[in-house]
Amino acid sequence: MSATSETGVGVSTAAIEPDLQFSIEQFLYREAEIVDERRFEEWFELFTDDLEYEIPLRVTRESQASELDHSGSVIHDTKATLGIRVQRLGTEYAWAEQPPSRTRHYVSNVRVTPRESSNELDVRSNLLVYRNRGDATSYDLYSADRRDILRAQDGEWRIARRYVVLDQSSIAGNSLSIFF
Amino acid sequence: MTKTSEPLGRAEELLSRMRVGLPEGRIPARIFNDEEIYRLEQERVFSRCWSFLAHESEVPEPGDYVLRSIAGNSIIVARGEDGHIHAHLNMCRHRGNQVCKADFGNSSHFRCSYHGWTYANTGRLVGVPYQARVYDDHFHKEEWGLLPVRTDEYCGLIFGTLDEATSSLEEYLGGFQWYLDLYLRPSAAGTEVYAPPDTWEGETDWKICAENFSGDGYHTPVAHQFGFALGYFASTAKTHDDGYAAHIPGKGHGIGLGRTPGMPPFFGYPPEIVESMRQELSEGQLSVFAETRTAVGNIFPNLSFLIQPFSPVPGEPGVRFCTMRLWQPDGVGRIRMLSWCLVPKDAPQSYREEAYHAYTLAFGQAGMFEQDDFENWSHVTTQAASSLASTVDFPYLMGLEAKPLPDFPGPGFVVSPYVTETNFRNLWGTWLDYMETPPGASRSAAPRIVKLMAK
Repeated sequence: MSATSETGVGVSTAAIEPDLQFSIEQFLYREAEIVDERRFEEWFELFTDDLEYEIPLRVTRESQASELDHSGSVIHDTKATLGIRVQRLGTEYAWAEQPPSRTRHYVSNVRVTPRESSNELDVRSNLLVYRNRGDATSYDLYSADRRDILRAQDGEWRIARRYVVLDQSSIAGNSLSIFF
Repeated sequence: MTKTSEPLGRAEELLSRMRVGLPEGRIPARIFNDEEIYRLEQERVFSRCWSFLAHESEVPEPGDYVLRSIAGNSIIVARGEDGHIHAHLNMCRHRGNQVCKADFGNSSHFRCSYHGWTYANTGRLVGVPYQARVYDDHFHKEEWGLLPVRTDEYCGLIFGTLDEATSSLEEYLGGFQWYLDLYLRPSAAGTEVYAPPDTWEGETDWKICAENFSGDGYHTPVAHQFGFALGYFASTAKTHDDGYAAHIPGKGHGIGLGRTPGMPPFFGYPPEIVESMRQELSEGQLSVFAETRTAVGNIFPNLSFLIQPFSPVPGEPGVRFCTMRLWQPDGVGRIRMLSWCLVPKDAPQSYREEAYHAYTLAFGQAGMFEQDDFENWSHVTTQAASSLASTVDFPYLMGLEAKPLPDFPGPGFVVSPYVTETNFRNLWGTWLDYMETPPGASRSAAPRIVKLMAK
């Protein structure tokens, strides 16, 4: 189920060229900028047609290792159904986002690993998303382990697979009306 | 230990006002966000009703357990080595530590991390460290097992109650089983949960949710207007009120059965399931369910169900998914929300996956319909606590004079159309009965057991 090839402890970082690392990081920062500015139609174009986008459910277990050992998801979208979510935000009727959430996506700890296919990369990052709405001073803070597969398409990076493991089993927020 | 009920001035005033207003279709807004009402509910509703604990498919093997709660009591629901369900208060009898700290797991025993007392998952105390050295003849292990919680089951649903005097679950449901069968009996094998529940904290009073799922067809065309705009629904806004509202008088349970004229029978079910439903259900049930597009119902007080055909991409054939949800009060104006997707046990795997994907798109914490519901409900809750709101009653005037349909195959009080408020007045009348009945007294209006209509 995981998109990432599991790298062990102490793996060499020399496998990735600094230029490539820089390019991936910049891509993720620009993606974050686009989604924080609510340019969702543009953001949607950053995904490939065969996209699989998933936020798995986590359950509290005796051992953390098995918290994802089941088939539950908060979101499990194809490009088409992710597109529906985006379309809905474009109507006047997405009440949960009226007024709109203010988000800030912080992307860090970007780790890049080549995949077998030469135009694809495993990209693992830490994600922190701040979200606030209306005149509330309270906010939601989401921490996540984000596991992407990026694919080079016509000289641009595109996201072919996104697997976002939130660091909560009971998830904050009245509803999850934002993107990760 | 019974709680004493100190005089609760505002709560008493609200309930008296409601007792007068309810038959005339008026309910005080304030009940939806009030500290005293909340405390009274914990004592008089949630400590006495049957509360949903778990679906038996969540604990299929001996040793399996889930951790749930009723009225703030943490409860271990476990499948014993004997194959039966056992529910106990999650509190070591020695010094009160939690003996179980995971939401899901498998364990034949629970060992307290404080002094090491060990319990079998049937609740029996089996291990006491240094027992022979530190305890004498005054100590008998059999007296110190985990506190048992009474349970009862219907079609895979495991309920618990904190009140030994509460009637059996069968009597409590009072005929509502006929309607629940649509959700729970798609075949002889029944249903199972597809996955663990979505859990989150909602900023809403539970009652708003329970009412909505007791058959609020009125909100759909507006709250979920995006769905009509994007071409989602089989019905149009104009035909959305067609169908029935059924409730069990005096019990509080209610269901809305929305129909779309011209909808193919059992639209959205795979043929295998239609066939097994025909084997499993009565003629009367089949005649109603075949035409039902939306079945949205609630078991008093706070366990709801929804079946709805839904095509994740508008224009594609719809798939029928079933969601079950528990709106657990978790502080004034807040709930801990648990939401499951139920699938027929022996449905084709492709259908089960499709149904679950439809569920995650529509409901669950990120579900598009769920988001808009919680948005509305959170604002209703916030407003209900304002001082001016204390003076306001809401109108529950729809169908005030409605007469029950004489020939409807299902039990209870059944009216047309689907969009009406007969179910809500029954829900709140039942709630009011509980709220006005002090601990220890039996409820004044002994509910008539509604005889099931001949099948």
